[in-house]
Formats: sequence, structure tokens, C-alpha cells
Amino acid sequence: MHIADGIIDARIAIAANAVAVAAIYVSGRKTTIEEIPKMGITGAALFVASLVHIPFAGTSVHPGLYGLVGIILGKRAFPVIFTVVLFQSMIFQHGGLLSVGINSINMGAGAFAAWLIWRQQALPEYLRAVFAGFIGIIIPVLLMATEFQLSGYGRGILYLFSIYILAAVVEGVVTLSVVKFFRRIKSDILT
Amino acid sequence: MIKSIFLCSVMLLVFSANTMAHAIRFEVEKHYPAVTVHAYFTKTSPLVDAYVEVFSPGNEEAFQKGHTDKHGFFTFRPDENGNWKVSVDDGMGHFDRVTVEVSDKFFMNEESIKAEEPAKAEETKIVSDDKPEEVKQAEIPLIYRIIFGLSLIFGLTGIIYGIKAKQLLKNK
Repeated sequence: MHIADGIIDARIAIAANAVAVAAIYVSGRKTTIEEIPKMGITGAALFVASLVHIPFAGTSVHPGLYGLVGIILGKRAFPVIFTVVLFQSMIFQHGGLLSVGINSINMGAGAFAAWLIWRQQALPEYLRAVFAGFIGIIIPVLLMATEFQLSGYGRGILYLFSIYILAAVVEGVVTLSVVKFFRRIKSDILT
Repeated sequence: MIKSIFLCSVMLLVFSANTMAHAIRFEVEKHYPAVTVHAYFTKTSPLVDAYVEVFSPGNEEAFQKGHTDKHGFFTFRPDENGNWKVSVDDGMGHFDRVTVEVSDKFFMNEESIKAEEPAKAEETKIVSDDKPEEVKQAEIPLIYRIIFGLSLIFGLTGIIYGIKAKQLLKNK
């Protein structure tokens, strides 16, 4: 789910980096000392999650955990996602360095949408968790597919969707299990 | 603290420089009359069913389109010498190009085949745009890279925690 360098126009990629830096400032402002260890641990989980490759439909997909990150970190998710995407790009070559901004925005949008869903207290918790996990993948895929389409690359929105729809369902179930686990052992970790 | 940040940055730069080429790798085999491109991340994870476009020298319109097979191979048959471009896109955000130089020497093998002599591969080499060969050979085990990444994340968390703690103490 990481866009490599050379796909998106360099000017757009640079602009996306500028937007990402601004988003880090806005979402990371007034972070309390209590939130920092949680951000570090979640970042570490996110960093490793992308290495779990599941062969599917002739290619491979990996868990994103963006929905779960949104649920745990809320608006603090973006600085964590940016840092993780930067390190993944430098250490594993997942996506390009210039594309860190656009990749972070794609994934951060997923986490943010998941957080918004999670805050809808009127809905039952299990539904919010599944939907947050699902949307945490679907939003980045939708954004990435659109960017690919606009850049003239890729095999289109439908192809990407067909592959990631199942991954998003699995992600929804995984998110629900983790939420239930945290609710049992450490309820206050959930925003 | 500044020393730690500096050390972290230097390590990250050094480390990433050694592993920068591990995105998509290409192995090109030229053996008249065909050129075979092998696209892979590592030898055990090829780019399966990736979309391939071949561009003949100086042409922007694709000479040939297709997909890699289940082992990440794609073959085409050049009809002129020059620099042929091959782009590979797995549709999942992994995209790269490789330039394949087809010289007269490649077509000279045609004569040897016609003369029913065993044809020899013109050359076999790993080629990938703007990535030097020696960098590609530096295969740092995945587990070390994971540990390195995690160390950076936890280190950074510690640094930010320290700064915040210092600020809190100052305010008290």
C-alpha cells in the first residue's frame, strides 16, 4: 500500500510532504507525557505489521492496522504514521522517500476516519470496532487507487478494491479482537 | 540529547544507503532472439503477475505489454539495437523501470544460430536504473532491519519522553 517514488508527480509529492508536516504539527500539538509511550508502542506494532505478507490473488497484501491505530491514538495517530512510513521507506524500501508525505496522508486519513467512527458512541462497540478496522484500510486504498489512476499507472480502482476488500474485512475482525482484548485487560488504552 | 539525535540520524542514513536497492530487483538475460527480465523483491519473492510494458528505443508507445509469470519472468523479442525500457508495476504500489541495452553483439548471435552452432547468452547481469551493482549485493538480514527500525522507534520515543519530562520538571 506504499506508493513508490516516480509514480506521483514530484511537485505533488513535495506538496504532500509539506501538508504532512503541517498535519504533524496540528495533530501532535500539546501531546502529554502519558501519551508518548502509547504512541511509541503503537508505532512499533505498525512498523512490524507491514512485514506480514499474505499471498493473495497472485500478489500479496499486508495488514495495515490503521483503524486500530486510529482507535488507540485518536488524533495523535498521524505523527506516528508519518514516522513509521518514513522508517519503513528507509529501512525496507516500502514506498519512496519523496512519497512519504503522500503515503502518510493516505494512511493517516484511514486512521482519522476510523477514529471518527470509533467516537460514534450511539453505535454498539463491536460494530464500531469492525467498521473502524474496515474503513482504516478502505480509505487509504481508495486514495491510493485514485492517485494511481490520475498518474496513469496501476490497474485501476476496481482491481485494487477487489484485492483489498477481503483484507479490509479481515482487518475489521482483527481490530474487533484487539479492542475486546484491551477492553478486558486495559480499557483506558482505547480513546 | 543532540548527540543521540545526531548519532541516530547518521546510523539511519548509513543503514538505508546499504539497503536502498531492495525495492524491485531486476535480472536481465539476453539470449538471442529473446530478452528475459526477472523481477523480484528477493530471490524467494518474485513479482508475480505484475504488469509489464516494453518500450523500444526512442519510442513512448509500448512495443509490448503483458504480465510476469508466477516466477516473476517476462520475455520479449527486440527487433533493433539500442536502449529498451521495461517498466514493471504490480498494481500495489511497487513500480520500477529497467533499461536493457541491446547491442549489435546480441543480433550477431543470430548468425551462430543460423549456422546451427550452440548459441551463447550475450551476457547475464543484474540491471536496475540508477542503483549500483555493489549496493544490490549488500543483503542485510530482515531481522536486523526489523531490530534496527524498532530501536529507532523506541529510541525516538525515549528522546521525546525525556524532552517532555524535562519540560514538566522545569514548569514545576
